[in-house]
Amino acid sequence: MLFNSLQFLAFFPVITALYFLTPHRFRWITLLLGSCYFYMAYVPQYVLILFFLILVDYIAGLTISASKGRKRKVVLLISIACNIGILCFFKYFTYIIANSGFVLHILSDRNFSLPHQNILLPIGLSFHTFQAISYTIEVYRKKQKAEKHLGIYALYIMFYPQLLAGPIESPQNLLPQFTQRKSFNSNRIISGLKIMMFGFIKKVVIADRMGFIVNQVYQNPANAGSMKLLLTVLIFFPFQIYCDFSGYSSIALGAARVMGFELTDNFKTPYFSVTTIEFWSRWHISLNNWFRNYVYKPLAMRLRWMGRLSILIAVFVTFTLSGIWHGVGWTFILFGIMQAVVISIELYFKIKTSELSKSLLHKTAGIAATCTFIALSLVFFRSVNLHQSMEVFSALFVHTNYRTSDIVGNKYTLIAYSIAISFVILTMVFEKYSARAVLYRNHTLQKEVSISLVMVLILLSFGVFNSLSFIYFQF
Amino acid sequence: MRLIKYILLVCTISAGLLSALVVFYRKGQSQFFKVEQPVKEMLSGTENFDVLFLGSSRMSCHVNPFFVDSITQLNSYNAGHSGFNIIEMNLMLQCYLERHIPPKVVVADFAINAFDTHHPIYSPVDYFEYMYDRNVANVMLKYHERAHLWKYLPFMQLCEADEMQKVQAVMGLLGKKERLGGYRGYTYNEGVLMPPFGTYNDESNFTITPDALKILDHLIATCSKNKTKLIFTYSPEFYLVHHKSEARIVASLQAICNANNIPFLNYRQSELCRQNALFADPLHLNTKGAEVYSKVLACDINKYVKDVNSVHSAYYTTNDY
Repeated sequence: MLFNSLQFLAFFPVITALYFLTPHRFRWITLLLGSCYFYMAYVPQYVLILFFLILVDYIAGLTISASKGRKRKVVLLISIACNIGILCFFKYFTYIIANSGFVLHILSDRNFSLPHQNILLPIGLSFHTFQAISYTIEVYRKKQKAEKHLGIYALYIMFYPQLLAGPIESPQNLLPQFTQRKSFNSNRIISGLKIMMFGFIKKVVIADRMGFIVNQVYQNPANAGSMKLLLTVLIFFPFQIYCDFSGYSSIALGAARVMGFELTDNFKTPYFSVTTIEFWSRWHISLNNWFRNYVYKPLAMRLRWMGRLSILIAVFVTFTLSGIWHGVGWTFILFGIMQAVVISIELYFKIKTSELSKSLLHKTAGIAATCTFIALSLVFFRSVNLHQSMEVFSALFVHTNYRTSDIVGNKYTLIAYSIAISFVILTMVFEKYSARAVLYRNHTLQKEVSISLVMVLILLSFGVFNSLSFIYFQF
Repeated sequence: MRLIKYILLVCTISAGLLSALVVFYRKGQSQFFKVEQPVKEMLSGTENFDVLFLGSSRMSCHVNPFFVDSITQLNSYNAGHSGFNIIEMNLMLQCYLERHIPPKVVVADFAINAFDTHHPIYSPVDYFEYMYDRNVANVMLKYHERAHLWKYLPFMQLCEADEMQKVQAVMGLLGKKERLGGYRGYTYNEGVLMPPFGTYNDESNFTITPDALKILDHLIATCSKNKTKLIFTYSPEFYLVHHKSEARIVASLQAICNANNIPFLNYRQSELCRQNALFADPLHLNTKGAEVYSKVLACDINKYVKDVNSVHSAYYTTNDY
C-alpha cells in the first residue's frame, strides 16, 4: 500500500497500537505479520519471492558463520548470485530480450522479434535485495554475527517502513534494534508523527504539484516552449524527485521512530552541495554507502597497483552500476556515466568542498554549478528514452523558443508556477535551518500542537490528492 | 496522557479550522462567479425551464439562451459545464427533476470524450455542499472513493479543490469577480482563432463504455417517462480538427438515436466550422460564433418542438442580456 493512501492511514495506527500492546517477546511477530500484510497489498504472490530470498540469505548467513576457508566465499557468492539473479530477472529480463532481438536483427539483417512478456517488478525488490546482500557480506567479513532467529532476520528484510523504498539499512544498525525493548514514549512518538507529517507535505504538497507541471511539459517537450522547459529542467523536476523520495524517506523514518526504531537519514539537504562528490554523500545516502562499501572500495583496493587510475575506474564502475540499478535503459546508464565523469574531474583537479567553502563567492558558485549539472543530468533520468532526452536538450539549446509570455502571459501558469516555486524555497530554507530543531526536539505541548496544526493545515489545504505513487517505487 | 492530549487537540482544532476554511472557500467561490454555476441552479434554483441544454464546455460556451429563446419563444437554461461527461450530464437532469417540473425539451451535446467514464467527475468539489441530495450522493459514492469521507467528515472537502478554484475563492473573498460573464448558464468566450492553422489531430481512442451506455439509456428513459423531447447534438468544431474516434462515436450515437427515435443534429460539416473568426480555439466557439450557432440550433429545435408552449409568458427584456 502507498504511504499516501487511506489504507495506510488506517493501517499505521492499528499496527502501532498492536505493537505497543504486544508483550516485548512477541513484538517481532506483530511487526512481521503487519509487514507481510503491508507488502501483500500490492501483488500478494510476490511475497513468496521475498520469503525465498529471506530463507536463502538466512541459511547463507548461518553457513558462512559456521564454515571456514573457501566454503565461506562459495556460499557468499551463491547468496549474492541468487539475489542479483532474481533482481536481474524481474528488472532487466524484458529489456535484455527486446535488445537481443534488436542486435540479432542488426547482425542478420532479418526482422527479429523475440517473444517476451512484460514482467511486473516486485515492489521494493531493488532495495531489499541490496539490504540482504549487505547482511551476507558483513557476516562474511565477520563484522556482523549471523542472526540465528529466522523471524528477526525476516523482519530485518521486511520491516515495513523501509520495505518498499529504503533506506537500505546496514545489519549493524537495524538488527540489534529488534531485540531491544522499546518503551512507549510520548515525546518520541510526537516527534515521529511530526517527521511523518513533514514527509507527507514534501510528497503530497510539493512533489505531486511539481509532477503535474513536469508531466505536462515532458508530454511534448519540443512544443512546450523553452522557458517552461528550462524551469521544468532546472527547478521542477529536481525538486519533484527530491521531495518525492525524501518525503517517502521522512515518512519511513517517522513511522519507525514512533515505534522506537531509528533509521538512516537518507538525505542531508543535497541541493546545498558545493561539489558533485559532496552531492552524492548527501543524496540517497544509504544507497551510496552501499555502493561505496561493496563496490567502490573493494574495486579500488583490488586495482590499487594501477595508482590513481584505480580510483577513476572504481568511480566509473560504481556510478555506471548505480545508473543501472535505477532502471533499464541507456538514459540511466548515461546518467551514471555523467556523474562519474564530473566526479573524476573533481578528483583529478582536487576540487574539495572544504576549500570552496572558505569563500562565500566560491561556495555560491559551487552550489550553483553543482545544482545545474545535477539538474541537466536528471533530464536523462526523467526521459523515457534517449530520443526524448535529445528533444529536451534541443529545445533548450538548439531550437530554442524562449518567451517569458509563456509563463507570465497565462495567469493559470503564472499562479501554478509561483505557488510551486514558493513552496520549494520555503521547504529548502526550513530543511536547512529549522527542521532538526522543530521536528526532532521536544517542545511544550502548546508548541507541539501549534507546529502540528500548521503542518496539517498546509497538507490538507495545499495537498494534491489525486495521484501518483512515489517515483522511486519503479526502482 | 501527553500523547492523547496532543492527538485530541490537533484533530479537533484542525477539524474546526478546516471547516471554517471550507465555509470561506464556498463563500469566495459563489462571490467570484458572475454566472450562476449549473450545479447550483439545478440543485437549489427555483425557476422552471422549458429547455435544458446539457453538455461540456462545448455546450456552456456554444449556446446562448438569449438567442435561442428569441427564436423558440421558450425559456431555456444552459446547464453545460467544463469537463462534464455523460455521468454529470445525466446527474444534472436528475437533480433538476427532483425539484422542478420536467422540461419540454432536453438538448444533449456530446463531445468526443463524453462517454469516457475513466474520469467520472470533473470537479468533485462542486458537489460537496449538495451531498444531502440522493442523486448527488449516489453518483459521488459510486465514482469517488473519498466521497465517504466528505459525507461524514465535511471539513475534508477542501482537499479536493484545485489551485485555480482556491485562487478564485480568495479573489471572490477580496471582492473580485471573474472577468467574463454570461447568461443563464452560458459563458462568454473571448478570442479569435488566427492563422496559420495547423491540423489538430487527436489520437485518443475513445469508446462508449458499458457504464456510459447504461447511463445514456437512463437519460433516454427519464426523458421518455417525463414526455420530454430529447435531441442529441454534435456541436461545431473547426474544420481542421481530426479525432481518431469520431467516426466510431458518431456512428454509435446515430444508431442509438435511430433505435430510440431521437433527432441527432450533427453540425460537424456545417459551414460555420470553416469560419475561424467564429472560433476562440479549434474546439470552442467564441461569443460571436455562439450567437450564430445558437440561432441555427434554435431554428432546428423549432422543427421538433412546434407545439410546445412556454410555461412562462414574456419573461425577458433586452435588459436581461
